[in-house]
Parts: sequence; C-alpha cells; structure tokens
Amino acid sequence: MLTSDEIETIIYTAIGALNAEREPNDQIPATPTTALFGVDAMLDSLSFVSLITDVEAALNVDHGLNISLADDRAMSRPESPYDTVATLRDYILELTEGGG
Amino acid sequence: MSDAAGYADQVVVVTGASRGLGRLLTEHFLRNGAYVVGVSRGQSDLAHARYAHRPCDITDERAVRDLFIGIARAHGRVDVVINNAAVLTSIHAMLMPAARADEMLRTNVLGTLLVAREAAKLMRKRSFGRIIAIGSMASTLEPVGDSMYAASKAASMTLSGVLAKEFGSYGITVNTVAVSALETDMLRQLPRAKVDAVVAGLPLPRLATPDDVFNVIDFFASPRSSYVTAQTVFLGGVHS
Repeated sequence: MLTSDEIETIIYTAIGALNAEREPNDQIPATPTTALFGVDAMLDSLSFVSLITDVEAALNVDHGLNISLADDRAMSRPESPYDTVATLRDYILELTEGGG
Repeated sequence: MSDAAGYADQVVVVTGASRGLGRLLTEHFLRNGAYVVGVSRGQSDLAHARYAHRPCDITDERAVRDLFIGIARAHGRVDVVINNAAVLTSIHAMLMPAARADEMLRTNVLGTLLVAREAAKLMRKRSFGRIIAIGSMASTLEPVGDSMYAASKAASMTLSGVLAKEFGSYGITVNTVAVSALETDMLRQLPRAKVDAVVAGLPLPRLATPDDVFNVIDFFASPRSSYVTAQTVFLGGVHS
C-alpha cells in the first residue's frame, strides 16, 4: 500500500520530468497546492496528459497497480481530482485503498 | 522489409493474432526479426522464440491495461501496433440483432481505441510509435448486408485520423490499411457471389494477397515514414 508521501513523490517525479523540458523561468512548482488543471494551472493540455500518463505508468508498472486515473469516477466527480497535486494525491490514495 | 533485420529488436503487438490476417502478419513480423506479442480472446498454437501470446478481450478496459502493463514490464517498449482484431456479422439491416451490432462496435471501434490508447502511453516514452489499423473496403463501398461492419470500419478510420493528431507530437503515427478481399475466415463468412461481384468492380479486379498487405504495413511501420500519418491506403484501388 502506497502512503500519501509516496504518492506525492510519484507526482513530483512526473512534474520533474515536465520541468526538464521547460525553461528555468517557467518551472512548475512541486508543492501540494500546485494547480494541475484549470485556469490557474501552468500546464497546457499536452503537459497535463504527460503528467497523468507518467503518474499512471509509475503506479502500473513500478508498483503493480492496475489503476486508471482517467476513468468514469474521476470524470464524474463534482470536485475534479485533477485540480491540484493534493487532490490528485488524495484521489490516488482513495483508489489504492479501494483496490483500484 | 524483405531482409530478416527489418524489425530486429522491435516489439510489435498484433491483435486478432491467432488466425486469418492477424496470424499472417504475426508470422511476417517474426520472419523479419521482431518480438511479437499476439493478442486474441483465445489461445494460439504458434510457437516461436520471439512470440508471446496474450489472451485478452480488447473491449475490456482493465484487461487491455493489464496487457500493456505486462508488455512494459517484459519489454519496456512497443514500436508497432497492428489493430487487426475485428468481428463481422453480415446480414440485412432489418434482421440485424442489436447484440451483434453492439459487438461489432465494441470490438472494431472501442477495442481499437483501447489498444491504441495504452500503446501510445508506452510509445510516448521513446518518442516513437507506429499504430496501424486494418480497415476495410466496406467502409467506402458500403455493401448490402454490411451496415454495422462498414459503419464500424468507417468509424475506425475516423478514429485513426483524430489519434494521428493527438499522438503526432509524441512521434507516433496512426494509419490505416483498408484491405480489399483477402482469402481469410472472415471473407468466407460472406456469400462468394457477393465477394466476386465486389472484386470485379475494383480497378484491380483480383483478390488481395498477404504480400499486398505486408507491403503497405511495412511502409507505414518504417522509421522512414515519420512524416506519414492520418492516411488510409485502399488496396485494389478502392476510392475513398
């Protein structure tokens, strides 16, 4: 079972991969409140897709969890799990605790 | 790709690999040096050092994800995907059972999307990928009796066009080979007179051969075809 901190680390690793491709003055901060999706987000749609697929791949391949981060549950929530690092972390925690 | 090194070290996924065109394509890739992961709902009797068969229902989202998690762990990459799996029920629309129509949409369209989606996630990491759908002349000839099959194949072509746009920036191309009549189990489900009439109307009025298909597949799969995407090649000269 992954802890909240471990999940956050996975998300930060994915943000780090995005930052490696960005200019020094355009880095995405690795903090729980960093906006990932919506008007406040620094990520464009391609960067957002890359982030989600990188996190999903880490969960699937490195941790053996068959989890989709873009399933019906995620799409149909009144509060999007993609809003910030913290909401994504909490959603992943919920999925892993519920067995995916 | 006539030399044995044509696909050396590449990982190729073929759906519908246990029989028909999928089996022929699987053998073609193996002859040319690829590691092939063959996918079908059942087992395969094909034995080869570079062949792994993975039973999977491609309309089952979780199963498809599992399939590609396994491929990522075993190989860490996918170079080429052949979206070949398809089902066909040929019957007058007034008699078409909804369950058969639904099965064609699920396998021929949804399954194609799920396989392409999971493959693209892996391909993205290496900024290289070739996704090739097996289309059909039915999508444009619209033969009587093939309402849902033709519609599903037209949908698959449109799907490939959109995927080509969405995946292009990752170095992934998405194309379609629209096969005319090829001697397979699927073709044998159709009345022979109907097949003969369709073939007679083609600019090149003969059945397709496996090599006709391999030729276009090899072109789309080639690393040199990095500037070729969102294309459909109709074998036999069918007009789009």
